[in-house]
Amino acid sequence: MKLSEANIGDTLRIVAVGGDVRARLESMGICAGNTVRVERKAPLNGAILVRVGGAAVAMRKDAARFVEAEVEI
Amino acid sequence: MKSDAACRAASEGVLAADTVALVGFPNAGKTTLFNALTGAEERTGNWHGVTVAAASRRLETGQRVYDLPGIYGTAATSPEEKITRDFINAHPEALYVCAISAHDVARGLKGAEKLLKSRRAVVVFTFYDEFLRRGGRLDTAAMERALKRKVFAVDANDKKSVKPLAEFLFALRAPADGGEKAGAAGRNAGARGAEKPFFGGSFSGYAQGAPDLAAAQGAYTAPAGKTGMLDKALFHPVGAAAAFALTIALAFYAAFGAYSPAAALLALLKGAFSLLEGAAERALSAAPAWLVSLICDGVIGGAFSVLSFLPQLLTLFLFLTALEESGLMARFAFMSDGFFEKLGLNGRAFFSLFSGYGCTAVAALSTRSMEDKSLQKKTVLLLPFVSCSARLPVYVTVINAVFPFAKPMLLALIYLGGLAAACLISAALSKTVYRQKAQFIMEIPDLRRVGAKKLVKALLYCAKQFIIRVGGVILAVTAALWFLSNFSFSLAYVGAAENSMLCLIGKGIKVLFYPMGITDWRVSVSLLSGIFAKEAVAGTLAMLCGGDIGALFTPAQALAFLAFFALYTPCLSALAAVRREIGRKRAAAVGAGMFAVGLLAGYAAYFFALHSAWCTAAAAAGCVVAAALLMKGKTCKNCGKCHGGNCKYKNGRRR
Repeated sequence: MKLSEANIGDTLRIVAVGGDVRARLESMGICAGNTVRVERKAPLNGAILVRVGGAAVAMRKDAARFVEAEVEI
Repeated sequence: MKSDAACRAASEGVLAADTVALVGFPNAGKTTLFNALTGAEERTGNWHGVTVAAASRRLETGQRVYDLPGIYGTAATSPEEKITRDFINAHPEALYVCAISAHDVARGLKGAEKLLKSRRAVVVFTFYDEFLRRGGRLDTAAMERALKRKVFAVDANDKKSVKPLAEFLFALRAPADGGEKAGAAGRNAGARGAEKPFFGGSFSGYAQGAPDLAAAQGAYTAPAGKTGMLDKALFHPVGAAAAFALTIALAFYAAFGAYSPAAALLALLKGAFSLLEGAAERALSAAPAWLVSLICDGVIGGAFSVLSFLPQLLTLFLFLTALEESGLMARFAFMSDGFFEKLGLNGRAFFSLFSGYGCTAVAALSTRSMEDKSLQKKTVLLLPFVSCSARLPVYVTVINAVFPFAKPMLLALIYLGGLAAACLISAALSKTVYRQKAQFIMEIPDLRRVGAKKLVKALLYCAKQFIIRVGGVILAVTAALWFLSNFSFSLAYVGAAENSMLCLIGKGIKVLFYPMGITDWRVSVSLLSGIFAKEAVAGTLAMLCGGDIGALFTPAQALAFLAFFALYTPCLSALAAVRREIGRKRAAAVGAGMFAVGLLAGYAAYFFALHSAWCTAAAAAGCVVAAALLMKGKTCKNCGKCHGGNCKYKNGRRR
């Protein structure tokens, strides 16, 4: 699923990162193989906050749409 | 002559390494490490889709360092991977430096496992500084024991941090003499052991044996995110909104409030400068009038006008720096993004925009630290719509003189209308010129205390930059104003008289105001002086009209005047700040553009005031039409009749 569709509390393993935001996302640790946890969602359909490698990274839905991930139980 | 390190290496039996290759995941900072080791300037970037050879550089030591494009060459999924795999197969004698991001240890070790088992390798953990800052811990000695390889932890951007690794690698260069045997032996051993685990003597660099990944896990602790009480409040919608509003109010009051420290500082400055002016007047009592005016109004006045910005600027800057360093601004930006995105802004931009109510120049300078440069340009362009505090005395003077009963309503209209106009224009711009990218990606750091030393350093830097970059322009502007308002066109000193250049120019441009019903040259001269400093308008008007401003305007003209004054060209100091932030051409465009906008607004206001009945009816009709259009919504694609949702004509057939 896309990262933009995940729910709060989900832990996901990233499968692929695309788009022209790829370099920026990867520099923050959002890259294939890494595990992220969706921590918060901002109000009014805003950005989501994920925790990856100990850091909290915020991104808008349109950036999160470029991240393919699968849920880890 | 052999170096000590090389002698030691040779005696320990460590085999030389002429070829060094960097491998690892793309996010591990491989290329940064490569640049640090070789002094190169290779650009870090996205290799994907580009078939490249391995970048390599020859060092002074004679060694060659390679930056391999793939990861570990294990799965040849892409051209880059194939290159890396071919290289590893072709160079069994090379020393492989496995760059692993400290944020990604588990994955990095797993990926490097095969390489660690089949080639000489050392492990370098990168982003070590950030890892520590986030609360992670790495026991290098324990990691070395677990992996049975040499381990380094570096910040690839810090030369000092990379030095131990560099020295280790350079010490392995094939010694010029005597060590040749060691070099040759290394190459032979490497060739023999190409597909098998590497065996050698008791080397400090590369011990034998398979790395124990399970034990390696125990050698480090990943940083855990911290959530405290404050975070619980800041990430709650109501808490965030309240905190953001409170912070803006606090910053605004501290910088622009009447009884704030900044105001006190300004009063102090004013006092000091009047003393200076008084002393100068006394000292120059025998000098010609123009010289006295030059020193007192020109030089001293000019210096004061530059320094007078500092209390407000530094206070606002203090707040901004503290907010950004502490991590509060990131949280506000995150929580408010949903709201502001629709307007084409973000929380940070709003902060600067709102500061425009205090001072346009200061607000423009406050956009400096915005990361999104495109949004910064847009924010600065929007600032002239937000009425700075220097305009307020003029509003009050004119409203009091002409229609005092309408004061609350008109002031609300001006202030809120300005912000509304800025938001609308921002939304429009974001669909056309400044299209929004999906680039809102930022790290929300843990909340941390801000060091006083850091704040002071930032403030001093800000003050210095302001005085140097903007101060010069303000001085020039003040000098120009002094010259124009005190000298006639024949360059004779006339003092502040009606035949000064400023007055004559003002008389010349008064035709522009005829469509507003304003024909009095005293108004146009006052407005002209407002381009230099908005505060000057009230004073000039009072001086030229002898105090009776009410006689100057009919209500309709006053309305037009207010509309023009609210929107026209910001003061030249503000334009100087705008120029510093977004460039000379754009600043000139702002100056000319806002003058035109002000004129149009003034004409429209005058027309509205004269034909208010018709205009109100037309506006009401326009609202009804707009509402109808919005309600109509989209037309259904299937049947062309209904409004989407429950289409009765799915697939062209009635359901």
